[in-house]
Amino acid sequence: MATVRSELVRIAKASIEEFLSTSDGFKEYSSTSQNIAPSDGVASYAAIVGYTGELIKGSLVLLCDKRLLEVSHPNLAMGMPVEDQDLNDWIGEVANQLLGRMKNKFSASGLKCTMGTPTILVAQALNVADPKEGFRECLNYVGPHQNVSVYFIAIVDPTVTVESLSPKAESASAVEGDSFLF
Amino acid sequence: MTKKILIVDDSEAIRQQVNFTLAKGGYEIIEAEDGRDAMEKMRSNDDISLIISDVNMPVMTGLEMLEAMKAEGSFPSVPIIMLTTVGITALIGRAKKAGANGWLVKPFNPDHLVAAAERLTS
Repeated sequence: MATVRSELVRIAKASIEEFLSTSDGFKEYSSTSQNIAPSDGVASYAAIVGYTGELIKGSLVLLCDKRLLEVSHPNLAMGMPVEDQDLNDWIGEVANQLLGRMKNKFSASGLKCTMGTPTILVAQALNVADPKEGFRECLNYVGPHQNVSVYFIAIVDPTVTVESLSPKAESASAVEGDSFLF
Repeated sequence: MTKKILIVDDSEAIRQQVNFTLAKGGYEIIEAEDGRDAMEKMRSNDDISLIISDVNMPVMTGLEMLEAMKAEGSFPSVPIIMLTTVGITALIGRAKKAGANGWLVKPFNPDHLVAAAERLTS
């Protein structure tokens, strides 16, 4: 039976998979149910972006390794080098794009929120503990480079129900690649 | 005369990507990291033909920048395209009301961006 949590996780997964399927360097990644938190000793990059609204708040934590950030960086397609200092900026942008997609879908389901700006960490064996409030879901993806983990953390107002999350026709949103001139 | 475009995004990777796409079209590119930086660059460059701005940025968001420009009545003739991951209809409406001339959703199609820039700077 669907729950508010399962519906929100479904939306989060759909948003991540949209991003993966359309973004160079991530297209060969697919969902896995394995526990694939970064291995000890593997340098990981993490981007943390918070979001807040009247009915939902929380954060998204994106974990991936250096090599994936290098091969997915837009500089490659432009024939430009990717320096170490470019990677912090890039993982922040990827996290923004993931949460931006979730924000679009949450809005269509009546959960309006605003996003913060990313905080970046570079460390080893990063892990994200359960939050004191709300829930944490770890969504894992495997591909040709080190694995990608996205922690979706949410605190949802108790008035939100599965029925209230049905997408509202009037809240339809534009999708990636769309362009409008007014 | 070469037309100047101001790119506003807190991500250097995106600024470089937009710069690369538009520089091939012969535009001169100026970059800003957030809305406040963009307003300063606008004041020191009176010949900017187009602004392309992200929405979600630290210090001052793209929509705050747009609304501040409108409230001040500054740069009324400079067209602005919002370039963002967010595609929420209400936000697009808010940007349009504040004077934006276009909205592109990331990841952008380079041809769409060049076509929009050509149309709005011609």
